[in-house]
Amino acid sequence: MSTVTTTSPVASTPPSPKEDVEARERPSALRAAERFGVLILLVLVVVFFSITQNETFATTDNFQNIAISQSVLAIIALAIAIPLIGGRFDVSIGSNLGLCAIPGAALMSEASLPLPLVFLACAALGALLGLVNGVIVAYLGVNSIIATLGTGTIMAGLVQAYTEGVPINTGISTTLTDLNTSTILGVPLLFVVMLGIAVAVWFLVTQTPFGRRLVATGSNLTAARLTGIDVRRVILTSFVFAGLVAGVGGVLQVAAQGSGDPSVGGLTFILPAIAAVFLGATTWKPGEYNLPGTLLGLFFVSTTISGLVLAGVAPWVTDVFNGGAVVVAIVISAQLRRQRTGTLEVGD
Amino acid sequence: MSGAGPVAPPDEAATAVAVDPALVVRGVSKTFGSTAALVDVDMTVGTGRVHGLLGGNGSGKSTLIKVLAGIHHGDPGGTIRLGTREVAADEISPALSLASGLRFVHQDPGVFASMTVAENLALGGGPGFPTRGGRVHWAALRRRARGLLERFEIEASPDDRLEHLRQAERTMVAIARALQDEGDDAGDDGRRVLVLDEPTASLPEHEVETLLQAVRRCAGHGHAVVYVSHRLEEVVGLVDDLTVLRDGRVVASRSAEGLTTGPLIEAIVGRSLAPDERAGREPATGDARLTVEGLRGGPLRDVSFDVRRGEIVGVAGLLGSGRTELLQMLFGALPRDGGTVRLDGAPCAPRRPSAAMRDGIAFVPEDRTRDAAFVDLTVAVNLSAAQTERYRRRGRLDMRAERRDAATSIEEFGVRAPGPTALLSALSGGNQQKVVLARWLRRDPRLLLLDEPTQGVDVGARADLYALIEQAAARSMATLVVSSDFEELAHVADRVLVLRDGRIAADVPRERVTAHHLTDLLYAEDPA
Repeated sequence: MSTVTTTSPVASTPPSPKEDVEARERPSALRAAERFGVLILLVLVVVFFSITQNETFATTDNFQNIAISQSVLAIIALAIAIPLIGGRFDVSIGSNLGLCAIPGAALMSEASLPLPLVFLACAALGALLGLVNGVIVAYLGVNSIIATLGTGTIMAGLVQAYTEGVPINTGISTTLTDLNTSTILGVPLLFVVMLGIAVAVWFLVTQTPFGRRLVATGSNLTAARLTGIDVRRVILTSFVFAGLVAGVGGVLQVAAQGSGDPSVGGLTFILPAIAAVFLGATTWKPGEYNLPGTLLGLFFVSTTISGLVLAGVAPWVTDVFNGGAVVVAIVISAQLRRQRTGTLEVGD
Repeated sequence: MSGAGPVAPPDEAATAVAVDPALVVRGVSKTFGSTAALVDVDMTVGTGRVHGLLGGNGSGKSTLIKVLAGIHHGDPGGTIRLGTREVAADEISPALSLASGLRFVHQDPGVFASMTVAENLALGGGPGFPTRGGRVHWAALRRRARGLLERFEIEASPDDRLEHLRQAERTMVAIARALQDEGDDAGDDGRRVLVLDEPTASLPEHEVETLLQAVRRCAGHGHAVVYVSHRLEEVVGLVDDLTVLRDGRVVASRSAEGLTTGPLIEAIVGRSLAPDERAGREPATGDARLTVEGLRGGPLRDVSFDVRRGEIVGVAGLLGSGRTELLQMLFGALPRDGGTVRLDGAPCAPRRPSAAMRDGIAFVPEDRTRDAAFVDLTVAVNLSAAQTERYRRRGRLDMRAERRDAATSIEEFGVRAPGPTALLSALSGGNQQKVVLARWLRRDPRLLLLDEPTQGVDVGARADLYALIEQAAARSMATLVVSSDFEELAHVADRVLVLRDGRIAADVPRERVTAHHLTDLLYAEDPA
């Protein structure tokens, strides 16, 4: 992954000076700054708050808190990234996760279902909801943001109908809630589980033929279709996988909170996750949605917010920061895309 | 390619007419990288005259229009003079072009079908929407539109929606929109240079004359018209003067008086490749690989032909003749209405590209950037895009093997790229096209469909692409190549099918495939 700047020794074509391989390469320092930008920012933020808020910020407890509270959000970010790589937005992920948390808790509370079955059931439910989204977007030809805004709102409504707004907090498996309290070498177990899911999603999108088809579809839908890719099925599948991850995330949300909370979900809830995905596309592999970048982005946003909260800023600052991070990140990633493709489309 | 064409060089008598030139182009050149698109082009367009601008594909016509429009900068040195205003070719901008009085109406006239004539006239140019108290003053808008419709003799009312107008009238609305300013007292006489780019290409035959009359009227009103068209009959009857470009150079510049299509074709295509200069390919004698009978759908009414193993068959057709649709139907990317297709004797009716690919069909589309290239992905990914499954190893992609094969392909197909992991966008157009072709040739297809395979590709890469296609043909691959570049067809094809009015109008054997002959056939009037 280091040097790409060497010129090819292959030159069977007779001279056509410099029209080939015209250097779109930029200085390596700039490239490194892009690649590690968010990581560097994250380190700076940690150092800054460790100095200014050394009593409260730079404690094991606080870092563990951030790790636990952001793990569920990280799973949302991972889920969002899957259809986004194919060029489609699933804003219902938060509601999907919130919805899956409720039957997850209820199955334990009322049916005393063993934990693995609960995971299975919630994953299946999440995937089913993703399937509905996928059918609407891929086979009925609807704009993905609007479609999932609609389905997400329906999901939130169903949650209210079932719970009447009351959290389900009895009979939750202690094995599950232990995820929240246990640590391995000081690292919260929930965080480790999240990393496991991240590896699985990373494998799916970068290492499998499906992932390749998804990337191709996101890069150029017509070209993908004309190279024999069933683009509708690819898009549909990406929504199913996103839903599946959200379903698993729903159970973990119960773990993190100790209850099935009907107030979880919605757009503001997932905003930091969206910011993370776009921030991710500005770093690590600049110009591509990528998962290491996404996680870095998420922890940059959440660490900054944690520090700001500990510094005693007013609550509205959080919203402004989250929203600002989304806009800034998406603007930067659009510019990076222009550098790669040479064109900048009107946003849609 | 060199030398002047058979048409006489600049005709003194003709240029003398243009004593009051509206547009004078002097010494304009334009190079893209190492490719010269325009070389020292001169053109003089007289006030009140219709000036034909002619040339084949890649002759530089479009580039010249884009320089005039300010979309491309010319190379330093050239000048463009409009009336009394002189602009350096390397400083022109869209705003400057507009301010100097140049107006453009393209083949797709850019009108809004669901809006009314009055609204269309107010959008894009002119004084815009008249308002009163912040609201659109509809009565004034209608009044002005009615005036324009009268002035340009368009049979429509201001409230008609464009979609209810005939195509010729839609184009006339676009012309009226471009020329609507009457001028003012401050030295602007309202006279313009109107550039019409292939305005009749998508018009039904019986509407062409309506539009041509409108063009003549424009010139009659004192505007200068630069008229670009492939339809030579039409040009001969219409224009007063003309300029022919070939390979970016002016090869003819004269008055249209006494002009016939014969010498024009000579000028446009230039010297035809003599038979003995062509690659000494053996004519294919194998069995028919592809058999098409009575294929219908879209613009295709009844298409029948066959292609032998190892044969390269060209398809010539004007824009809108259905040449692209033919390939897309064979590839399963467009539905067919009827007809049978056989591949090596077996029925072949793919309903989607993946099915066609299983049958061994490959398709290189016309618009690479839009339909074929993944410019923000690596060369390796682009090369393997049509055979991802081949790299599946226990559920995952073997990317090492993919990169290794990519390196082999880069060498084999002579792609100039920094390496397999370089982004496709870092390659030149010609090399991107090689990657796309390699993507398909790697699959060892039985039938290769090529749509304008060398459009926008420089000469060197072009020769490489031909060589690659011929090599593959030698391995008994059948090839169908659509091209509007007749030199290309003459060079690469064993025989050429001429597609006209949804049918194969002629099947030209190899010995008779010359750019000249093809042009004749293509422009031939149907007896019907």
